[in-house]
Amino acid sequence: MSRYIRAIYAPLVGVRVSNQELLNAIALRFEALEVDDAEKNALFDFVRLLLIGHRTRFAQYAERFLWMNSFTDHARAFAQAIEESINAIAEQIEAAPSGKPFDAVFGVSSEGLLLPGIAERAARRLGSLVRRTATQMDVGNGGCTASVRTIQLVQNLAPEMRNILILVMEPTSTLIDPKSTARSNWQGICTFGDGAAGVWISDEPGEGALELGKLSSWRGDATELIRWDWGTDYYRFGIAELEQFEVQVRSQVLQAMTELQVEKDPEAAWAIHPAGIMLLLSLAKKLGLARSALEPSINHFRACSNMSSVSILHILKNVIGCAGSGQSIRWLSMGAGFHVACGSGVRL
Amino acid sequence: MVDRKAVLDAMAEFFAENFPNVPRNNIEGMKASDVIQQSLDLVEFVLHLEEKLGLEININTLGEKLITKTFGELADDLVTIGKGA
Repeated sequence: MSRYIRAIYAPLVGVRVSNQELLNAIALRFEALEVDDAEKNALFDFVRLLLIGHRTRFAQYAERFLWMNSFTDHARAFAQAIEESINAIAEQIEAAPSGKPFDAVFGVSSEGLLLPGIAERAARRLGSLVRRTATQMDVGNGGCTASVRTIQLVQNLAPEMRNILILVMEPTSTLIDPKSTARSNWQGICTFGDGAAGVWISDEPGEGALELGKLSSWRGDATELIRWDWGTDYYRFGIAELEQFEVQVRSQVLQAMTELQVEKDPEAAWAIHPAGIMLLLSLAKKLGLARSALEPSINHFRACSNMSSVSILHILKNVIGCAGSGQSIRWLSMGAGFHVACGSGVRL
Repeated sequence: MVDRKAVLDAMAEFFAENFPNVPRNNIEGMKASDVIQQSLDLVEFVLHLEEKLGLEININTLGEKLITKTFGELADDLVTIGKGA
């Protein structure tokens, strides 16, 4: 059976924070770090490298995110961010309702735990737009590929699941460990931004829909490469070997592309997860893509940084919106696991 | 094996193509952060050097040196990296 992406809801949540604003905030926070000046200065130079140029991100807990001081601070920030994200997506759904109640709702996030879960909270918020009997379940710990792997999961559901809503929210700023001097922690802080998105998948086509084609995923051997470490009060960003990170990511992604037979398709419009500009440009060469084909991903990265598994949905929404009828669309995402997930579809 | 002059020539070529206003008579003494102020340019710079020198440059290994050191010092580091290649 065919399934279609009927709509992607891509609100911006939180406050926009520029590289310069973040650098200033980090400089202030570093004054309170209890480490020797040499280590502090070297760490600050590393942060300066990560924040070079004009880039922004959204932070849902902007006023205090570099001053979280307890487990409760982190957990509360996560819960508040989830509520804000559900409301933001729900408002977009309500503005153009599907017309038929959802048969399933999946909540996706990798930053924290909630009970009741994201799916139940969203179903409550959406009221009659979700059937009482709808399957409601959260998908956790999927990292940056979680959203596209959930789309893959949905594509394989039984036919009686006709209209499905996926809600993805990644409040990455709630993972910030402001007391840690680990470089992977600060790499995460400077790389990620908060984001939320929803996807409506239906068994019925509609105006501007994307018919889902082949979706596949691959797990490499670098299982520990990207992970959550245990921080001072909560989980924090972790990388197994920071010095080898870029090289290992490139190597894993290229291996995946070979095994998944992601062939060159310069005619397609591409959405590529913005794991980093270095990786994007390397992949473009491998895929035989013109620099212009990367613009949706690069523009997203400049405006929103890396929203983990939310990013690909924001980029995909833009790509689908710009595509003409019959246009082939491809996507590629990579992240913890180490997972690479790709997909294709045709704009109706 | 990478020759230091080849590294500096590759750097000069990048600046000629992308930053024509940068004076090329003293690249060695200039700090990278004075010239490259956008992350995209920084990555383009590294990818250009990889292509011209036939090296795989680990941006994490060079780390903050990419903005704190002079191009001459970076060239020395790349020669060292080239010896290990």
